[in-house]
Amino acid sequence: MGWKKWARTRSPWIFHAHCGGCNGCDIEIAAALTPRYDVERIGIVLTNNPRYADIMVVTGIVPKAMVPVIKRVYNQMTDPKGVVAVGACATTGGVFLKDDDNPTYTFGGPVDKAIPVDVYVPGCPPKPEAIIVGIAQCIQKALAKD
Amino acid sequence: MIKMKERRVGALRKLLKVSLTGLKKCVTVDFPFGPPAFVAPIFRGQPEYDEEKCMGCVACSMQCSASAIKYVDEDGKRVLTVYLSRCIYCGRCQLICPQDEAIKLSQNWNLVTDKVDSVVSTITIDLRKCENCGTYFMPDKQVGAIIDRIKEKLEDSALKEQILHDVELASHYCPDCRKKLAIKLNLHTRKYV
Ligand code: SF4
Ligand code: SF4
Ligand code: SF4
Repeated sequence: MGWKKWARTRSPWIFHAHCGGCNGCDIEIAAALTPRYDVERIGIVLTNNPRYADIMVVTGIVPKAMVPVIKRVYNQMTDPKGVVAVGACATTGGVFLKDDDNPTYTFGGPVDKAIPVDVYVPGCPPKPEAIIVGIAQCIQKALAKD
Repeated sequence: MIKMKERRVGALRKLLKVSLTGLKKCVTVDFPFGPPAFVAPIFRGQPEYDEEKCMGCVACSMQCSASAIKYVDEDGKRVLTVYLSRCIYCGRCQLICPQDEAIKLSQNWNLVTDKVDSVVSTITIDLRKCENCGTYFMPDKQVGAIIDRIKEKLEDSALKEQILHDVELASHYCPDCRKKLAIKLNLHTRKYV
């Protein structure tokens, strides 16, 4: 294992992009960061600057107005980078895509239409454990390379 | 003055108690390396079909809040699929199911995937073939369930034998052929009056 890979996989910094969700998923991400689950003990740190981040965690349906923003934020992240889509909204559209041809009028998503997604975490909202599993899979998939 | 002192002692005691709870038991769940935290008994996870009970009536598909349940009729089989990345775990399918929870929300929360349509719950049900024209028109089990329910409702009606005979006869034909063959099979309800 090269030292770069070792360093990357040991401490992935995450950037939380809230894209029009109902806050349910965001609360669960916050729960994953609290002492109960305490992901900082395994090196996962929340950062508010996409330039420092390795993994972007996206929640919500991605409204039309957010599509250019999320693309820009994604381009600001440095390589290698990964994206985790959290929740039914972010993975497929969920309840906001009741009718396939006729979604909610603000609907610009799901996330994988705007940016490439590595790992999907279904649930509405998913359990904090599921989010941790998703981030762990994203580390293996996107960051574990030299 | 005494009150102030009491309050201070109370607050100190509380502070000591809170700061000592950390010594008794570690609150952090050692999750990625150990077992996960508890799952609440009312937790709603992956909806799962019961092979025994489900009759393929697609009521769950019609009621689904997120259109997560899709079905296709192909080669004499009806395949119902719940796309779990779309499901919002509301439990309406379980609530509406006429077969007493043939679809049930389990406790499974770990559905993390890297292919969005790969996490599904499915069930395959045999369809009944029309004896006249050969098209598949209704799940076999649903026909059985309907006849059972009619039997229940009839209880001890005078026309029970006749009605059950007619229903049994009609259940082998698709709706179109039933109309065409109504006279030949003598299915008209006129004879009941
Ligand atoms: S997936 Fe559910 S909980 Fe998460 S943002 Fe969408 S509606 Fe809210
Ligand atoms: S699960 Fe229930 S509602 Fe859905 S098709 Fe089966 S019997 Fe009908
Ligand atoms: S739990 Fe709700 S969203 Fe999920 S399949 Fe059932 S009705 Fe559809």
